[in-house]
Amino acid sequence: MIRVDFTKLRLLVVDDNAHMRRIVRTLLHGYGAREVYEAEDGAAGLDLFTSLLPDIVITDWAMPILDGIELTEMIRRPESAANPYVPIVMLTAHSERSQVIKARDAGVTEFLCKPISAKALHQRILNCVLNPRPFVKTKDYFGPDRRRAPGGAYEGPDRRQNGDDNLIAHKSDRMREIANS
Amino acid sequence: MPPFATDADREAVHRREFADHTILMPPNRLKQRAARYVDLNGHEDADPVRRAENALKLLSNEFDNWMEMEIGALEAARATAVGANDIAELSTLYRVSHDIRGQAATLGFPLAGQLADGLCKLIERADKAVPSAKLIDLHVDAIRAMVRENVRDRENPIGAALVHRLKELRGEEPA
Repeated sequence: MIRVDFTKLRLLVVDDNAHMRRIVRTLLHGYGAREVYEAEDGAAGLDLFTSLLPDIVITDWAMPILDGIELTEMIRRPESAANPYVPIVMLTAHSERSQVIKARDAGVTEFLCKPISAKALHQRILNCVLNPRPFVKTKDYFGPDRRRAPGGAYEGPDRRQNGDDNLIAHKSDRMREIANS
Repeated sequence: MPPFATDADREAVHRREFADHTILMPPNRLKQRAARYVDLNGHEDADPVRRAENALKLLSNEFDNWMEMEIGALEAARATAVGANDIAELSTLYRVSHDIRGQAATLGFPLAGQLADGLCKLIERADKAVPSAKLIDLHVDAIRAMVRENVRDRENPIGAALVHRLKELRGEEPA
């Protein structure tokens, strides 16, 4: 079977609550990670992101100065000198559908509701490493493909017209499994 | 080396242009670097999820103290909300309640987390008008009581009844 070697990953945890940062750090070290960096708000997170170029960002939503959505939007700038494709896991106590959609539309890669579990966080990181989605750039969106299945759920005003369903179809069965897990 | 540290990395992104969008497929350097096959019959390392759960269990010695600190922060936030005339004046109370709804279950107090979730909803759904101070106080007092009385079981009958009654008072359940 395939495993992810966490010793090869550099992770950035952005959360304004010190207890939650410690919990996430503990889980990441438990998976085997050695390089775990922390920031206590979105602005500090953005600063560390540009200087450390982490492989994966795990961010809270509600934070002072710059929240997790704004941080995601700052990172997802196609011409950014840093890595605009970095996987972003949003770890939040927000759980309403409208909020999940807002996070998705900001360019979040994976969404994880608190309370956190070791299994769920591990699964989200595995998705980021082993099954990344293609990125889509439209006139006003840049981020992971929001369709997780052919003819997928995204029905917003910016739904792209046609032409690439086959391109992403090979990922769809796997993504459906993940979405339902 | 982190991905996309150089222009060469950027040029490696595979692009396909369509009428109204572009599909970009960056090379999966993370998978190349960090994925590996393991032979579970060959005494491979223990399940990483189990290792993480064990690490969290060790950390849990500190959870009671952390929960007390969160309750202290909640009390302080309530004090800032006394006499509030504007929903913006509840921002500290909301932020602390939001923290508790996210982590109380992890810290061992799931019903306190549900009550904090209710307090957050009360504030989120208020349209400019400040929710009643009495209802806010009932939520804060209930959260504090759950911790003081060490209510850890999600099925605790008194705790569950309290959660239900506050739902009714918020108008989420028929009274």
